[in-house]
Amino acid sequence: MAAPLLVLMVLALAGGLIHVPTESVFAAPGHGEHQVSTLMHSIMIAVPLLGIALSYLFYGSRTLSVERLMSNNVARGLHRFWFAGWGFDGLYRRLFITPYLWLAAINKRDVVDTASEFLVILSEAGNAMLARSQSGSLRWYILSVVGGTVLLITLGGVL
Amino acid sequence: MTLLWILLLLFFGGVLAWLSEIFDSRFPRWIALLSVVATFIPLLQLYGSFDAQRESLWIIEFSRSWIPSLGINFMLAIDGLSLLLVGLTSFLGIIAVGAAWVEIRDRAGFFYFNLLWTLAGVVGVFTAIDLFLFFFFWEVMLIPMYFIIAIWGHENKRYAATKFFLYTQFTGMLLLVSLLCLVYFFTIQYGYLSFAYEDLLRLEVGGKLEMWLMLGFFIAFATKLPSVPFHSWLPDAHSQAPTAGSVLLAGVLLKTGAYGLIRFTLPLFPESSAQFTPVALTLAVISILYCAKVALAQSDIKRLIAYTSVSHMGFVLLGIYAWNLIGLQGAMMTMLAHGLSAAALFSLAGGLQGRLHTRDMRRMGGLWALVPRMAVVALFFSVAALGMPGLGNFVGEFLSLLGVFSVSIWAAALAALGMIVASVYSLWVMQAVFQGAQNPEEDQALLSDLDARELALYGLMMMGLILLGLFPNAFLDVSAIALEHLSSASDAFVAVRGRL
Repeated sequence: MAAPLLVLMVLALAGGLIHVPTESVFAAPGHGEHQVSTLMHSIMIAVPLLGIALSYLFYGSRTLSVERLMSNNVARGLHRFWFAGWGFDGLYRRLFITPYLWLAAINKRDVVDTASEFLVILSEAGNAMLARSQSGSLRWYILSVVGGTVLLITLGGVL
Repeated sequence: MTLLWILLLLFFGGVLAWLSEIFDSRFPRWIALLSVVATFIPLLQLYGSFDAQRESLWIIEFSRSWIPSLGINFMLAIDGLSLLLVGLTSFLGIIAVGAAWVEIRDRAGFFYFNLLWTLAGVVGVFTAIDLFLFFFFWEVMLIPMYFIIAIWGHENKRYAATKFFLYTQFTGMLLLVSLLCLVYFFTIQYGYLSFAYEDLLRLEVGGKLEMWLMLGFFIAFATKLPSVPFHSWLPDAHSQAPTAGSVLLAGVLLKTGAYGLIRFTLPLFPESSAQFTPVALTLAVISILYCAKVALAQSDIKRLIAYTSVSHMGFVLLGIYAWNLIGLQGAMMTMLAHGLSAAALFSLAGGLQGRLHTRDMRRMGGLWALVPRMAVVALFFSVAALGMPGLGNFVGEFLSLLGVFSVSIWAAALAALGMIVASVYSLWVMQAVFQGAQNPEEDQALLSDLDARELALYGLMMMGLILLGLFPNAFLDVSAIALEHLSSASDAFVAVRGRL
């Protein structure tokens, strides 16, 4: 079990010394453009060393106790938070998944289709109205013919 | 002559298939298959003899006087773009006949007649360069398709067929009105009547009037494409159509809309199209994202695939209105790849419906163990549809996005989100249908896996998609001259868009 970890450890420490031939792909780093300050450098070097020291105190010399740390509420909360990957899954669910599924669910029947539904209702209503007018009683037929004639004559007069 | 030969083969093949039913009910399908295969051979020949260094635009032309007193000629011509699309039509014609092979038993003769006449209409649309002839073929492909849905469709076929007919017929009328106005202005300016494409290209209408004429063309083609907000006929038509009808609808009929935009709308009305570009790009982005979202909510598997079709055609619209070579190539590749992948997905949905007698995904699940071959094929095509690199859809969508990036960064960025939502619905379908628990209500022990006929059809489409994905240049080179010519001929378009 330890062998692969050891290999990775050695590479992590000394891997930077291996020369990777990428000059032809990436431009040579510009001078003076990305100068990192000395303070920044020191912090970057100090943080891993601090980590090693802390883990030695916790697990090596046992000067500090894990149990005591975990009895603290804040520490427990942080532990849960980090264990859940900084809560990214939950954030994702709340920010993207739930709203997207909700948006999809409320519009299953595609609101754009309402226009054609409306057309169907309109033509069915028109059909019902015309069907009712076909009553078989002659007086209505005569009346509609007269009405149409009046309309035609009026239109002719107006135009 | 070759073009006329292809058309006649389909028209007469259709009639012959119908008549042959008198002798034996198996004759029509064999005659249909022979006719479509016979159309594919001269196309392969044309493709083989294609010369990328050619000077002239049209590879072959055919022209006869038709109605000389109205300036209407029977003019057919084919360039690289139409060659690929006619090739796709012919290829999917073979697939459609294969898909109908056992599904259609009732009135088979009339079915294959309609199938072949739809194909003939589509081939005519892709090759006509007389606008009256174009409109004629535009209508020819509509009516047989209406019969295919209305006669051989599923439970709600009347509603779906009528909706399809009304949408396409009404917008077809807009196209006709615009077309007649265009010819009228041409006659006033040039003193003679002509419907010829190359004549009308010389006409400059300009101003508000051009915008109205352009909208007539745009709406007709955007309905066929379809693009939001003219898409709502498609889910109904697809869910009710028989499998072969879906294959034709998704595979080739939708492409006629895109072809119309590329060949007619933008070159004929460059200025107003350029002014219209922001609207068209917005519609494309809405189509991609909105329909992907609606697709996810569907429980009817065919409706779901229909909505994904609209979403993918958004990439085509995007590529077209980028109006540069890369964008147009992207639109063309998306058309070819989507033609294959959508046809395959609809065939699979039809295959599932044939076996389970339902399209409801809530009644499916865990089918991988029962029909493993079908599941693998479905996985392949859903992965293709979501844009896996190495398959055709990726090349098309990538080129579309690249083309539109130089025109509108926003449209490109928003449309790229479509690739993510595409994987959401594609994987969701796979999980809902093939993985998870099996539905205990269904008696699924009797399910049969894909047979040799089906495997051969899917194998052909897989090969096509891999070919498109790994050797895109075999196709891009063919359409390059035609698209270059189209996009560079419209200086007015680029000039106006530059000012926007």
